[in-house]
Amino acid sequence: MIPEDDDLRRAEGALPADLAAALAAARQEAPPAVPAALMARVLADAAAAQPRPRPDPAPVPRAVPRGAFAPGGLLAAIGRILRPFAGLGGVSTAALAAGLWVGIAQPGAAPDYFALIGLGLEPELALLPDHGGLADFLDPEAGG
Amino acid sequence: MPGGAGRMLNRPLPAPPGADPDAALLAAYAAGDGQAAATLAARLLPRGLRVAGRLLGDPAEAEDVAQEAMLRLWRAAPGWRPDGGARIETWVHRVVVNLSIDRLRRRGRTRPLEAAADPIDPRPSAEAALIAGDRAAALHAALGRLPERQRVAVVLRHIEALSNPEIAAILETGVEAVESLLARARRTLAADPALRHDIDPDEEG
Repeated sequence: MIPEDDDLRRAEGALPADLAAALAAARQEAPPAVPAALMARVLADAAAAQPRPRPDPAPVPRAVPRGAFAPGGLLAAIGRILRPFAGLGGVSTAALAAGLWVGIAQPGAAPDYFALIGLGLEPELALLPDHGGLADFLDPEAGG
Repeated sequence: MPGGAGRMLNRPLPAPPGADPDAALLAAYAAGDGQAAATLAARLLPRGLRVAGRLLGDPAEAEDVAQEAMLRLWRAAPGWRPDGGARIETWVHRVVVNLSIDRLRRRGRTRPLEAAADPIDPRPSAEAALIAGDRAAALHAALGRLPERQRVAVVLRHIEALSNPEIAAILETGVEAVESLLARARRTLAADPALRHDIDPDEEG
Protein backbone atom coordinates (compact mmCIF):
# COMPACT_ATOMS: atom_id res chain seq x y z
CA MET A 1 0.00 0.00 0.00
CA ILE A 2 1.38 3.38 -0.98
CA PRO A 3 1.20 5.98 1.79
CA GLU A 4 -0.85 9.01 0.97
CA ASP A 5 0.06 12.55 1.85
CA ASP A 6 -2.19 15.39 2.90
CA ASP A 7 -1.69 17.33 -0.32
CA LEU A 8 -2.81 14.34 -2.33
CA ARG A 9 -5.91 13.86 -0.18
CA ARG A 10 -6.73 17.55 -0.45
CA ALA A 11 -6.31 17.57 -4.24
CA GLU A 12 -8.51 14.53 -4.67
CA GLY A 13 -11.10 15.93 -2.28
CA ALA A 14 -11.85 18.58 -4.87
CA LEU A 15 -12.38 16.01 -7.64
CA PRO A 16 -15.66 14.35 -8.56
CA ALA A 17 -16.32 11.45 -6.24
CA ASP A 18 -16.06 8.78 -8.90
CA LEU A 19 -12.77 10.10 -10.19
CA ALA A 20 -11.32 10.35 -6.69
CA ALA A 21 -12.51 6.85 -5.88
CA ALA A 22 -11.03 5.48 -9.10
CA LEU A 23 -7.66 7.10 -8.40
CA ALA A 24 -7.64 5.85 -4.79
CA ALA A 25 -8.51 2.34 -5.91
CA ALA A 26 -5.73 2.36 -8.51
CA ARG A 27 -3.27 3.61 -5.89
CA GLN A 28 -4.14 0.83 -3.49
CA GLU A 29 -3.63 -1.88 -6.07
CA ALA A 30 -0.61 -4.00 -5.34
CA PRO A 31 2.10 -3.77 -7.98
CA PRO A 32 1.69 -6.54 -10.52
CA ALA A 33 3.60 -9.70 -9.90
CA VAL A 34 6.65 -9.69 -12.13
CA PRO A 35 6.34 -12.59 -14.56
CA ALA A 36 9.07 -15.15 -14.01
CA ALA A 37 10.09 -14.97 -17.65
CA LEU A 38 10.57 -11.20 -17.43
CA MET A 39 12.66 -11.51 -14.27
CA ALA A 40 14.76 -14.17 -15.97
CA ARG A 41 15.36 -11.89 -18.96
CA VAL A 42 16.28 -8.98 -16.72
CA LEU A 43 18.75 -11.09 -14.73
CA ALA A 44 20.23 -12.51 -17.93
CA ASP A 45 20.76 -8.94 -19.14
CA ALA A 46 22.38 -8.11 -15.80
CA ALA A 47 24.75 -11.06 -16.06
CA ALA A 48 25.69 -10.17 -19.64
CA ALA A 49 26.27 -6.50 -18.86
CA GLN A 50 28.07 -7.03 -15.55
CA PRO A 51 31.63 -5.74 -15.65
CA ARG A 52 34.10 -8.58 -15.30
CA PRO A 53 36.85 -8.06 -12.74
CA ARG A 54 40.15 -7.84 -14.57
CA PRO A 55 42.25 -10.93 -13.94
CA ASP A 56 45.89 -10.50 -13.03
CA PRO A 57 47.95 -10.53 -16.20
CA ALA A 58 49.31 -14.01 -16.85
CA PRO A 59 53.06 -14.22 -16.63
CA VAL A 60 54.64 -14.14 -20.05
CA PRO A 61 56.66 -17.31 -20.57
CA ARG A 62 60.26 -16.55 -21.36
CA ALA A 63 61.70 -18.01 -24.50
CA VAL A 64 63.84 -20.99 -23.72
CA PRO A 65 67.25 -20.53 -25.37
CA ARG A 66 68.42 -23.36 -27.51
CA GLY A 67 71.66 -24.61 -28.98
CA ALA A 68 74.80 -22.77 -27.91
CA PHE A 69 72.68 -20.33 -25.82
CA ALA A 70 70.97 -23.03 -23.85
CA PRO A 71 71.74 -23.15 -20.14
CA GLY A 72 73.95 -26.21 -20.63
CA GLY A 73 75.27 -25.15 -24.03
CA LEU A 74 78.66 -24.23 -25.40
CA LEU A 75 78.70 -20.62 -24.21
CA ALA A 76 77.81 -21.71 -20.71
CA ALA A 77 80.72 -24.12 -20.73
CA ILE A 78 83.09 -21.38 -21.91
CA GLY A 79 81.76 -19.11 -19.21
CA ARG A 80 82.43 -21.73 -16.59
CA ILE A 81 85.99 -22.13 -17.82
CA LEU A 82 86.70 -18.38 -17.85
CA ARG A 83 85.01 -17.60 -14.58
CA PRO A 84 88.17 -17.97 -12.45
CA PHE A 85 89.87 -15.35 -14.63
CA ALA A 86 87.16 -12.79 -14.25
CA GLY A 87 89.35 -10.84 -11.83
CA LEU A 88 91.97 -10.31 -14.54
CA GLY A 89 89.66 -8.06 -16.45
CA GLY A 90 90.81 -4.98 -14.57
CA VAL A 91 94.47 -5.79 -15.10
CA SER A 92 93.88 -6.28 -18.82
CA THR A 93 92.14 -2.97 -19.09
CA ALA A 94 94.95 -1.15 -17.30
CA ALA A 95 97.58 -2.73 -19.55
CA LEU A 96 95.63 -1.80 -22.63
CA ALA A 97 95.33 1.83 -21.47
CA ALA A 98 99.07 2.05 -20.72
CA GLY A 99 99.98 0.69 -24.12
CA LEU A 100 97.66 3.13 -25.78
CA TRP A 101 99.30 6.01 -23.90
CA VAL A 102 102.79 4.93 -24.94
CA GLY A 103 101.68 4.78 -28.52
CA ILE A 104 100.08 8.19 -28.83
CA ALA A 105 102.03 10.34 -26.36
CA GLN A 106 104.25 13.10 -27.85
CA PRO A 107 108.00 12.43 -27.69
CA GLY A 108 108.63 15.83 -26.08
CA ALA A 109 106.87 14.66 -23.10
CA ALA A 110 109.71 12.22 -22.41
CA PRO A 111 112.24 13.54 -19.82
CA ASP A 112 115.77 14.48 -20.88
CA TYR A 113 117.57 11.78 -18.96
CA PHE A 114 121.04 12.84 -20.25
CA ALA A 115 120.61 16.38 -18.99
CA LEU A 116 119.36 15.01 -15.79
CA ILE A 117 122.56 13.05 -15.12
CA GLY A 118 124.80 15.94 -16.31
CA LEU A 119 126.41 14.38 -19.39
CA GLY A 120 125.43 17.25 -21.66
CA LEU A 121 124.48 14.91 -24.43
CA GLU A 122 121.57 15.69 -26.64
CA PRO A 123 119.08 12.86 -26.92
CA GLU A 124 118.48 11.71 -30.44
CA LEU A 125 115.14 10.47 -31.41
CA ALA A 126 114.23 9.06 -34.73
CA LEU A 127 110.88 7.49 -35.20
CA LEU A 128 112.19 5.55 -38.20
CA PRO A 129 115.89 5.04 -37.68
CA ASP A 130 117.80 4.74 -40.91
CA HIS A 131 118.58 1.12 -40.82
CA GLY A 132 120.26 0.13 -44.00
CA GLY A 133 118.76 -3.27 -43.92
CA LEU A 134 115.29 -1.92 -44.30
CA ALA A 135 116.29 0.40 -47.18
CA ASP A 136 118.10 -2.41 -48.89
CA PHE A 137 115.15 -4.58 -48.48
CA LEU A 138 112.86 -2.02 -50.04
CA ASP A 139 115.26 -0.98 -52.85
CA PRO A 140 118.10 -3.56 -53.34
CA GLU A 141 119.71 -1.76 -56.29
CA ALA A 142 120.04 1.57 -54.51
CA GLY A 143 121.61 -0.13 -51.56
CA GLY A 144 124.21 -1.93 -53.71
CA MET B 1 41.61 -5.15 21.72
CA PRO B 2 38.86 -5.61 24.27
CA GLY B 3 37.87 -1.95 24.39
CA GLY B 4 35.17 -0.26 22.43
CA ALA B 5 37.44 1.07 19.72
CA GLY B 6 37.53 -2.27 17.91
CA ARG B 7 33.79 -2.58 17.96
CA MET B 8 33.48 0.96 16.63
CA LEU B 9 35.82 0.20 13.77
CA ASN B 10 33.81 -2.87 12.80
CA ARG B 11 30.47 -1.13 13.01
CA PRO B 12 29.14 0.02 9.64
CA LEU B 13 28.97 3.75 9.26
CA PRO B 14 25.45 5.14 9.53
CA ALA B 15 24.00 6.06 6.19
CA PRO B 16 23.78 9.81 5.72
CA PRO B 17 20.24 11.19 5.69
CA GLY B 18 18.72 10.94 2.26
CA ALA B 19 21.26 8.37 1.09
CA ASP B 20 20.11 6.22 -1.78
CA PRO B 21 19.54 2.68 -0.48
CA ASP B 22 20.00 1.27 -3.97
CA ALA B 23 23.38 2.89 -4.56
CA ALA B 24 25.28 0.32 -2.51
CA LEU B 25 23.55 -2.49 -4.36
CA LEU B 26 24.42 -0.99 -7.72
CA ALA B 27 28.04 -0.52 -6.65
CA ALA B 28 28.14 -4.15 -5.51
CA TYR B 29 26.75 -5.23 -8.87
CA ALA B 30 29.37 -3.20 -10.70
CA ALA B 31 32.01 -4.85 -8.54
CA GLY B 32 30.90 -8.30 -9.68
CA ASP B 33 28.26 -9.27 -7.10
CA GLY B 34 25.64 -11.25 -9.01
CA GLN B 35 23.19 -11.37 -6.10
CA ALA B 36 23.04 -7.57 -6.03
CA ALA B 37 21.39 -7.58 -9.46
CA ALA B 38 18.65 -9.90 -8.25
CA THR B 39 18.00 -7.73 -5.21
CA LEU B 40 17.90 -4.55 -7.28
CA ALA B 41 15.58 -6.12 -9.83
CA ALA B 42 13.25 -7.29 -7.07
CA ARG B 43 13.15 -3.76 -5.65
CA LEU B 44 12.82 -1.74 -8.86
CA LEU B 45 11.18 -3.92 -11.47
CA PRO B 46 7.62 -4.25 -10.04
CA ARG B 47 7.05 -0.51 -9.80
CA GLY B 48 8.71 0.18 -13.14
CA LEU B 49 6.47 -2.44 -14.69
CA ARG B 50 3.38 -0.90 -13.11
CA VAL B 51 4.23 2.62 -14.25
CA ALA B 52 4.89 1.40 -17.79
CA GLY B 53 1.65 -0.56 -17.73
CA ARG B 54 -0.33 2.48 -16.56
CA LEU B 55 1.17 4.65 -19.27
CA LEU B 56 1.06 2.18 -22.13
CA GLY B 57 -1.97 0.07 -21.26
CA ASP B 58 -0.30 -2.93 -22.85
CA PRO B 59 1.30 -5.56 -20.61
CA ALA B 60 3.66 -6.86 -23.30
CA GLU B 61 4.92 -3.40 -24.15
CA ALA B 62 5.20 -2.57 -20.46
CA GLU B 63 7.42 -5.61 -19.97
CA ASP B 64 9.65 -4.55 -22.85
CA VAL B 65 9.98 -1.05 -21.43
CA ALA B 66 10.72 -2.28 -17.90
CA GLN B 67 13.36 -4.70 -19.21
CA GLU B 68 14.98 -1.99 -21.33
CA ALA B 69 15.06 0.41 -18.37
CA MET B 70 16.78 -2.19 -16.21
CA LEU B 71 19.26 -2.98 -18.98
CA ARG B 72 20.18 0.69 -19.17
CA LEU B 73 20.69 0.66 -15.42
CA TRP B 74 23.07 -2.32 -15.67
CA ARG B 75 25.02 -0.56 -18.38
CA ALA B 76 25.20 2.65 -16.37
CA ALA B 77 26.38 0.86 -13.22
CA PRO B 78 30.17 1.13 -13.73
CA GLY B 79 30.02 4.90 -14.12
CA TRP B 80 27.31 5.55 -11.54
CA ARG B 81 28.20 8.36 -9.14
CA PRO B 82 26.35 7.86 -5.87
CA ASP B 83 27.33 11.30 -4.59
CA GLY B 84 25.50 13.25 -7.27
CA GLY B 85 22.59 13.09 -9.61
CA ALA B 86 19.27 11.41 -9.20
CA ARG B 87 18.40 8.53 -6.93
CA ILE B 88 18.46 5.22 -8.70
CA GLU B 89 14.72 4.62 -8.40
CA THR B 90 14.03 8.10 -9.78
CA TRP B 91 16.46 7.43 -12.61
CA VAL B 92 14.72 4.15 -13.50
CA HIS B 93 11.33 5.87 -13.40
CA ARG B 94 12.65 8.54 -15.73
CA VAL B 95 13.86 5.94 -18.21
CA VAL B 96 10.55 4.07 -17.99
CA VAL B 97 8.61 7.28 -18.58
CA ASN B 98 10.76 8.39 -21.50
CA LEU B 99 10.63 4.98 -23.16
CA SER B 100 6.87 4.85 -22.67
CA ILE B 101 6.39 8.30 -24.17
CA ASP B 102 8.53 7.28 -27.15
CA ARG B 103 6.33 4.26 -27.71
CA LEU B 104 3.15 6.28 -27.34
CA ARG B 105 4.39 8.74 -29.94
CA ARG B 106 5.33 5.95 -32.29
CA ARG B 107 1.94 4.41 -31.85
CA GLY B 108 0.28 7.69 -32.60
CA ARG B 109 -2.16 7.21 -29.76
CA THR B 110 -1.49 10.56 -28.21
CA ARG B 111 -3.02 13.70 -29.48
CA PRO B 112 -1.68 17.23 -29.35
CA LEU B 113 -2.40 19.29 -26.27
CA GLU B 114 -4.92 21.61 -27.92
CA ALA B 115 -6.98 18.63 -29.01
CA ALA B 116 -7.03 17.21 -25.49
CA ALA B 117 -9.48 19.85 -24.27
CA ASP B 118 -12.11 18.43 -26.55
CA PRO B 119 -11.85 14.68 -26.19
CA ILE B 120 -13.70 12.27 -28.33
CA ASP B 121 -16.96 11.54 -26.57
CA PRO B 122 -16.35 8.29 -24.70
CA ARG B 123 -19.75 8.12 -23.06
CA PRO B 124 -21.15 4.94 -24.48
CA SER B 125 -18.20 2.74 -23.59
CA ALA B 126 -17.34 4.67 -20.41
CA GLU B 127 -20.88 4.55 -19.12
CA ALA B 128 -20.99 0.86 -19.72
CA ALA B 129 -17.80 0.49 -17.74
CA LEU B 130 -19.19 2.51 -14.86
CA ILE B 131 -22.48 0.71 -14.90
CA ALA B 132 -20.55 -2.48 -14.62
CA GLY B 133 -18.72 -0.94 -11.72
CA ASP B 134 -15.47 -0.99 -13.56
CA ARG B 135 -13.97 2.27 -12.40
CA ALA B 136 -10.53 1.04 -13.26
CA ALA B 137 -11.41 0.63 -16.92
CA ALA B 138 -13.06 4.06 -16.96
CA LEU B 139 -9.99 5.63 -15.37
CA HIS B 140 -7.71 3.86 -17.81
CA ALA B 141 -9.77 5.10 -20.73
CA ALA B 142 -9.76 8.65 -19.38
CA LEU B 143 -6.00 8.58 -18.76
CA GLY B 144 -5.50 7.41 -22.33
CA ARG B 145 -7.16 10.57 -23.56
CA LEU B 146 -4.81 12.87 -21.69
CA PRO B 147 -1.76 14.38 -23.36
CA GLU B 148 1.22 12.25 -22.55
CA ARG B 149 2.94 14.49 -20.00
CA GLN B 150 -0.31 15.13 -18.18
CA ARG B 151 -0.91 11.40 -18.14
CA VAL B 152 2.56 10.82 -16.71
CA ALA B 153 2.00 13.45 -14.03
CA VAL B 154 -1.33 11.98 -12.96
CA VAL B 155 -0.01 8.41 -12.89
CA LEU B 156 3.06 9.36 -10.86
CA ARG B 157 1.19 11.65 -8.47
CA HIS B 158 -2.20 10.06 -7.99
CA ILE B 159 -1.42 6.39 -8.54
CA GLU B 160 2.25 6.03 -7.58
CA ALA B 161 1.88 8.79 -4.93
CA LEU B 162 5.22 10.35 -5.74
CA SER B 163 5.80 13.89 -4.55
CA ASN B 164 5.81 16.82 -6.93
CA PRO B 165 9.60 17.31 -6.59
CA GLU B 166 10.13 13.63 -7.44
CA ILE B 167 7.91 13.96 -10.49
CA ALA B 168 9.77 17.11 -11.48
CA ALA B 169 13.04 15.16 -11.30
CA ILE B 170 11.61 12.37 -13.44
CA LEU B 171 10.20 14.76 -16.04
CA GLU B 172 13.33 16.91 -15.79
CA THR B 173 11.29 20.02 -15.22
CA GLY B 174 10.36 22.36 -12.38
CA VAL B 175 7.87 21.75 -9.57
CA GLU B 176 5.69 24.58 -10.84
CA ALA B 177 5.48 22.95 -14.25
CA VAL B 178 4.41 19.70 -12.58
CA GLU B 179 1.72 21.51 -10.61
CA SER B 180 0.51 23.11 -13.82
CA LEU B 181 0.41 19.75 -15.60
CA LEU B 182 -1.54 18.22 -12.72
CA ALA B 183 -4.02 21.10 -12.55
CA ARG B 184 -4.81 20.84 -16.24
CA ALA B 185 -5.05 17.06 -16.06
CA ARG B 186 -7.44 17.18 -13.09
CA ARG B 187 -9.67 19.65 -14.88
CA THR B 188 -9.75 17.42 -17.95
CA LEU B 189 -10.43 14.30 -15.93
CA ALA B 190 -13.06 16.01 -13.81
CA ALA B 191 -14.87 17.03 -16.95
CA ASP B 192 -14.61 13.57 -18.46
CA PRO B 193 -18.08 12.01 -18.38
CA ALA B 194 -16.56 8.57 -18.20
CA LEU B 195 -15.59 9.29 -14.60
CA ARG B 196 -18.75 11.05 -13.40
CA HIS B 197 -21.99 9.20 -13.28
CA ASP B 198 -23.64 12.20 -11.60
CA ILE B 199 -23.84 13.78 -15.06
CA ASP B 200 -26.72 12.84 -17.21
CA PRO B 201 -25.36 12.34 -20.71
CA ASP B 202 -28.56 13.66 -22.20
CA GLU B 203 -28.29 16.88 -20.21
CA GLU B 204 -24.63 17.15 -20.98
CA GLY B 205 -25.12 16.86 -24.71
